[in-house]
Amino acid sequence: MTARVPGDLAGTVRWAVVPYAPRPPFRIYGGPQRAPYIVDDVERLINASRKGGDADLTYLVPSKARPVLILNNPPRTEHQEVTALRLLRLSKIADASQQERIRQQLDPLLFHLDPARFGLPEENAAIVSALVTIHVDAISAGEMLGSLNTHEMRALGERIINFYGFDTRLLVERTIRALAARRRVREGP
Amino acid sequence: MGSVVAMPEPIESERRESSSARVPAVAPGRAIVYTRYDEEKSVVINPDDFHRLATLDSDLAELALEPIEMSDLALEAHRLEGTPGVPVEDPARIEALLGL
Repeated sequence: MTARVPGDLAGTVRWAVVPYAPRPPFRIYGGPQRAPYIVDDVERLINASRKGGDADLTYLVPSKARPVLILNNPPRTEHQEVTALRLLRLSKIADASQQERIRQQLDPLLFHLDPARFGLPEENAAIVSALVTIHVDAISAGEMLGSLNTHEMRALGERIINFYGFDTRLLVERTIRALAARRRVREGP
Repeated sequence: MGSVVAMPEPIESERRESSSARVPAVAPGRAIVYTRYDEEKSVVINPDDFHRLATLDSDLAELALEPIEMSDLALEAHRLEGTPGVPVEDPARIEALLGL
């Protein structure tokens, strides 16, 4: 598989194969001759890993081919994983007034995607609280379905930071200090 | 929250002769907000204030876009911990591991 050139994915909506978050009961592949093992107890699996020398098992995890909004480009050609947000189809929301709230960008966790700009089968919003990691090879190499502009990506980034509760106080403080230093240099003594 | 307004990045300014429109002079630190049907339409500010804000905007854009490069060591960490090994798929070994 040829590595994709970094720089063409951030802010775009594309089809990808996306797993759901694994949760009990876990289904473990035990070869073609038998049905998967079913394990309800996460502690049993953790203890087995601790005793068994870090063995990898093949978990059967439900996944779905779906459009996602990709947030970043692969950081290096040797590391081809990106983060993305799952999308919500507005038709799944029965309440028309709630759909309208999403269209007006009034729900901070649902970032509306203008259907006129995105070639999706139907109207969607990116779910800010549904962050997933995807390997680039699990993303369609076909045409992107649309993209966010710089300002929209900034607004989305702000919502993601707020939702996940990343404390940016030190970053903000450092930026203010750097701005003040630039201003002092520009204005002179 | 409100709608996400499309905005050029950075602000692009356009120069026009003031004689082409009746534009008032504005003192530093003040702004005149023009409205139409109660909606803000245009704002006139002093040139010094405009250049100060444009410089601040430009500085902020530069400072805010300093991503952390992925180091060789971080890349190695991903290789060691983020790459699956050969999975155990032999029923006897799985049963021994899980105590089944």
